[in-house]
Amino acid sequence: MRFPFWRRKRQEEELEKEIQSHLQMATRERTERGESSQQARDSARREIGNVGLVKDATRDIWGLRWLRDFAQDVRFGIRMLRGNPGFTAVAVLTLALGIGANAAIFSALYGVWLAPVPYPHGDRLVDISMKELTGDRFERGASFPDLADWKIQSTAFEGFGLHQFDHQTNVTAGGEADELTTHRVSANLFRVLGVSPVLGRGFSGDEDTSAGPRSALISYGYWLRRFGGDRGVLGQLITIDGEPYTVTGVMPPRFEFPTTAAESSPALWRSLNLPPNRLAARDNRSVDVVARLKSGVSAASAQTEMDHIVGRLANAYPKENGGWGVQVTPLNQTQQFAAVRPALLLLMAAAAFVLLIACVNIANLLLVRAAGREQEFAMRRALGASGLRLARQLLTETCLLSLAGGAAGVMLAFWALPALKTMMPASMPRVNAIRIDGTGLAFAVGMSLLTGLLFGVAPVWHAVHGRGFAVSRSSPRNRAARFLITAEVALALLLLADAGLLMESFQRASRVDFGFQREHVLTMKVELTHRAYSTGQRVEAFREELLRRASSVPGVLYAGTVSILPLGRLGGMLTFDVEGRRASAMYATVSTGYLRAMGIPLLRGRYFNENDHSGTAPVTIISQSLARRYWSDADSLGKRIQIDDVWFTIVGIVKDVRQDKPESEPAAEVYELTRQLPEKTQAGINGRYMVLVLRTVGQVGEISESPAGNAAILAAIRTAVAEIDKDQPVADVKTMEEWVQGKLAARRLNMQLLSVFAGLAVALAAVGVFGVVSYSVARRTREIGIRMALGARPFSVLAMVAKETLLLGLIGVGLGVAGTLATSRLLASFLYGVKPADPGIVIAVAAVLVGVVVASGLTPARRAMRVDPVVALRE
Amino acid sequence: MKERYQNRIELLQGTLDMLILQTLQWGPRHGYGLSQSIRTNSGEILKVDTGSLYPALHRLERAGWISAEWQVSEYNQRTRVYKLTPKGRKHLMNERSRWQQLIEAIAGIMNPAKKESEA
Repeated sequence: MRFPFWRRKRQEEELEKEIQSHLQMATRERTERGESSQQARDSARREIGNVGLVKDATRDIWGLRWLRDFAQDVRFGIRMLRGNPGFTAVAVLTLALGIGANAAIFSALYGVWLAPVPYPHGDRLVDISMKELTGDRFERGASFPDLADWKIQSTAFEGFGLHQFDHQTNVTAGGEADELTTHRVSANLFRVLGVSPVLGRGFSGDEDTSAGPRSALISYGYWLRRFGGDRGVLGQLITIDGEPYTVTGVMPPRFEFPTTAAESSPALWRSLNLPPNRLAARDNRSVDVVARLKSGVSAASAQTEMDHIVGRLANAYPKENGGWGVQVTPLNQTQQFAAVRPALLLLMAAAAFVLLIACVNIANLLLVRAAGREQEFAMRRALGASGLRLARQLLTETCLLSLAGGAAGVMLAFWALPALKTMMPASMPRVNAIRIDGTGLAFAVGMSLLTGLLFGVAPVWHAVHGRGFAVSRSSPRNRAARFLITAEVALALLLLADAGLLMESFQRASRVDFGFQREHVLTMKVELTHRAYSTGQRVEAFREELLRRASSVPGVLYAGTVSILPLGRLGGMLTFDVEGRRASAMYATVSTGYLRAMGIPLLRGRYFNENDHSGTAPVTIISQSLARRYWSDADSLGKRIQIDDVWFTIVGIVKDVRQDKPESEPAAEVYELTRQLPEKTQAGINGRYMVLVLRTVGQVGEISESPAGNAAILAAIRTAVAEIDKDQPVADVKTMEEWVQGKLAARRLNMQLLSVFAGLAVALAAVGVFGVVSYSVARRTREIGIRMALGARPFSVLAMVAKETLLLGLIGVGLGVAGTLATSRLLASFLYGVKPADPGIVIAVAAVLVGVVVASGLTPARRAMRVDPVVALRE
Repeated sequence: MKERYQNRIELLQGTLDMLILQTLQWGPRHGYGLSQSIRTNSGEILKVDTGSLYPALHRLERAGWISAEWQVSEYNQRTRVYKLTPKGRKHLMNERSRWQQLIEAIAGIMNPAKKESEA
């Protein structure tokens, strides 16, 4: 009869009955022999002995004794923790901070990096890209003829879906124009992803060629926003860059493809409709491929198979496919995810450090508390408890503590996660996928148990091995506590130094001179479609009218347009001819007012003005480093450069501008006036893509913009644009300061989180030092009393304790500095303008920590000073 | 206190198990009956401690050498009755021959003269 432990109660009852029947039989037999019933009952009971012990011995036979012991340990542990609420509160709070930080950062790391992409069986989805085997190792998608061969020859895949980035398009629906991120997809893509529309249907299957119908699926968010959630949207015609498309369905809420940063997540997916020549060209690798692996096939074996297939195709078509290989990448490991990993790892490491310090602190608290329990342990050992049994009991206690801390930590993480998500830079992919799910909880529980074992080791060691401590200050426990404190100070210093380096980097990056005046500049994008603005004249007419109206809006000082806004879209390089030499530089095509509106300082010569127009000789303004590269500053004015067979005279020299981000070097740049460009260029993308730049009223150096003023200006501009062309959207409305902050967001997040972690670490270290010094003073009360009775002055006692504390702090700081110097190189890629081992920061941080250690040790040291020798000796 | 009980069980374990199995060979018995039988058959020398008996019964049951069921006794009382299983019978045979060997070996040491005279 083996009862599983959940039927234990029934087994207990049976045992009770069995023993009762034994008693009754014994009693009956005795009465039959003539004893009185009272006598019989008493002697039967005497014979059977202690019923409780009989049961106990029998229960041992049932096995699962460990479970019973465990339950007992848990009960005992809970009693201990409740009996000591101060200690428990401090420990749980400490752990909650440590585990909460880890759970939150892990959830971010998991959601962004480790989790499979959010489609059914997303772990089986892979990206297949062709890659150049030599040279730039450039990665591209696939061509249709290649794809047809892959389909025939491969066995690893269930299906291949195709997609293509559209970037921004002008969409007119229901009479309203929007600029949207859109995406082109093959008719079968959503089947490959395993997602169907919530409303309507997917594509019919004929949309991949230009002969097929033009269909679009819209996102749930766009459906609510533009169509108010109206089911009548199905079958409606919308215009995308001037071409009509039929809406066939609405995708589910929160559906995103590709999984990317929220800011660039498509609002609609339209059919491919590729022309026959694109479908036939084997070397046109312009579509990206997402494939679903068959169940049980790994990405690695798919890679092997594809290597063979692509190798064969390279031999069969050397002209088109020679030199190209193939790369199969699980969809959650593509480039955009790889880019955010270092920062996530840095934060994870910092959080782990905080937890480590928390563990050290609690180990210390437990050690101190173990002093009070020495008697208890001695008693237990005397009663026959084995060392293992004691260790188990103590570890149960610490694990209970850490689980309580973990539970509080998870609550903390739930609370902190939304804040963390809003701090994430807009370029971070899959921020929406960040949440605390089963994996996050499992992580937190695992982390709690691990920490429980970790900080439980020291007290257990002492409980098991400590037999009668010598009450001297070199007792093993005191040594252990000192070691732990030193480690704690060292870890805190390491974190604080890293935070300091990141802070300094952030300061330098945010104070950088971009080469333009970033305050009081409002920018917005106006991209004209080729369909509506097919000639240079129409583009320029729109521009002239827009600028004329914009300049007259109250509050606008200067207005201009530029083809490539600094910190916005990444610009291209221009190659041109400088007196017979080939040269290259960044370039921007601008209107006459742009340089003034942007506040790019003129160093020599003049800005563009109204007299520079299509009828006059072409002029250009170049930036300083370009001028210095070929001439001296002074000589370059009046020199000429040749761009596309047109000679431009240099009339001005302006400051270099940082184009991409604060960390990029100011770049050499050439400015051309759009209205002096050839008609073909005006009608091209550099003419039609314009960012309107407005310098608004405000003092230079006054950081805060006036949102109300900007809103009024924006409303006036929107009205002006609609009056010129009602189908023309305005997009990306941002101040230059917002562009700058966007570029600093990732750096700010790293800095802020690391500062928070470093702050926690220092606070925990201070608590730790306070605890250890207090304990040390308490132990030595008698010794101090004797010293004072023998004539030591209070101040010398204070000095003695302070000296020891200082020594402890100095050792910790020394180790921490060594650790910082050894590891800060790992931080190098996060730094800007400071060296990994910046002496100023390291010294400052070391000083701060020495100060913290001394300050935390001061209160207990003063207590030592006030020891009354009479009282101390009598104790 | 608990520790002491455990020690005594360990001391008696091998023999007590064998005695229980042997007694059950003559027919099913409940715990009280078993202790009485062992006492009577040993001429009142072996008194089985209840604190050893029930753990031993439960241990033998776990090992599958005896089985138990609830029965109603002659006094119309529910008792738990133990019975030897075929597996237990086989185990008892082994134990007996082992016991026999042990007795002979000990006897050989205790009575060396007799052994020599035989040789």
